[in-house]
Amino acid sequence: METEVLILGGGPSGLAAAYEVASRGHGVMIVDEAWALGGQLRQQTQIIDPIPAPFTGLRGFQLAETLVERLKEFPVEYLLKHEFIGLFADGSAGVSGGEKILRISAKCFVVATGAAESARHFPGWTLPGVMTIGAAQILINRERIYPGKTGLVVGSSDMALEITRQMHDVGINVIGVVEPTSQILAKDGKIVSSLQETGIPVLLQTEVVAVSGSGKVETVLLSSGNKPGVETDCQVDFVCIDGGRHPILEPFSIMNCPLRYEKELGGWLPSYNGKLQSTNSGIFVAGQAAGVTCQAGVVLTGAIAGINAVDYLENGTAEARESCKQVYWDELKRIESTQTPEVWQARMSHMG
Amino acid sequence: MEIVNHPVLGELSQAKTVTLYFAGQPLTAREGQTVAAALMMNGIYKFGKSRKLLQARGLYCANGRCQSCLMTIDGVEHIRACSALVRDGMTVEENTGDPDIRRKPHGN
Repeated sequence: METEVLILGGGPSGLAAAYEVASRGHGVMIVDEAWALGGQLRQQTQIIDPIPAPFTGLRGFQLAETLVERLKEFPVEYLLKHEFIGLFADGSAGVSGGEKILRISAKCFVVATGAAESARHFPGWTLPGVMTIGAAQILINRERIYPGKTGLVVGSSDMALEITRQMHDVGINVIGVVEPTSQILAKDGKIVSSLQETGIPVLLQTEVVAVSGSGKVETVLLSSGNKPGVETDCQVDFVCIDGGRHPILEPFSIMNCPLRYEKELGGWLPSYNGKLQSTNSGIFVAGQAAGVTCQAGVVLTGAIAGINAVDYLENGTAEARESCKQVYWDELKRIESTQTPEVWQARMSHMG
Repeated sequence: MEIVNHPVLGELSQAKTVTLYFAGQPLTAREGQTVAAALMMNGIYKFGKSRKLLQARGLYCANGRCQSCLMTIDGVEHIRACSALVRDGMTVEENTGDPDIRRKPHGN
């Protein structure tokens, strides 16, 4: 198989990149390991805000549908339920659905693999019923099942508080959000006050000592920094871990792209320049793989990487593309530097 | 248990149901659901045992990353239950040990 731009990941950044490439008349193929496009937007029911026009006012899953819909007028190829597992000696990509390995020759790549959730470890964290906060969102919004009746959330990021509110809204009894540090980690005031409306307590300086149960979560033992030596038992049937997120890196390992550690961007990630091009020419990076950020950052870096891939194919840029990129960069700066200034600064220093 | 009325997504549409067999027992699942979700909907949370310490394992990340939910599906070992969709007549078993290296007829 052959394509001009091979995009790894069919989430918001990969879809945004595909649009920029396909709408300029170039061939695109999107590979995704899931059975559906949209990535992590598929289970997001909150309105995505901030997000640039024309996507304002959409809920996460609607944004996914919109990004997919807008590609329908172009001959984009999709390879779902396939993973990028290696490179052939001639540089073509090996992609597998579990049985056969397909060979795809591409002129350049956009790696938009997204981020994975990081864990928090305590005795019992592997017991059935302990899951990531993102898993709980998948269960309630995509799979339409309850992760349990009574739960506890460990960690207080924006994502965790938002999903806690969503669990409350479907009728789950969340007994509390515990946060080991002395302050709520969420930065979005609207998300924090939306959680506060529910009356679910956020227990600061509180840690999980252990989770226990017979084959499944039954009890969680908490200790509070405010009451040293006192441990409290809580009866729950599930526990959600919010450990933050980190870029997914396997394709960069396969393609030998040098990595660098940037704490504010989620840890290790590929080095890239102002074109979002990795140290290896022809490999562009987009979305959470280019640093953990908000949805606007995901879509905009995808779009920018897509235009840069077109520049790569055409051996140079064009005025119209440059001004288009400038608009996206301005939007990215406006949103990222106000929402998460540390992410914007880390991105600037990462690009060097 | 299913979330029938969802505050944002509305009432659950009447999807086709399929029957899958967990350790030989028939279970009803909704078409389009993952195996992991179908089991949890039926009250099954333990999907297998860890290879070394033989501790219970179940769904953890629901996203194809963590490998906690590996099960034997239609006779093929170590399949991620969170990333496999249910199919009528599918058989699902717990994973309790090291995987067999796959050979034909399963490919690779």
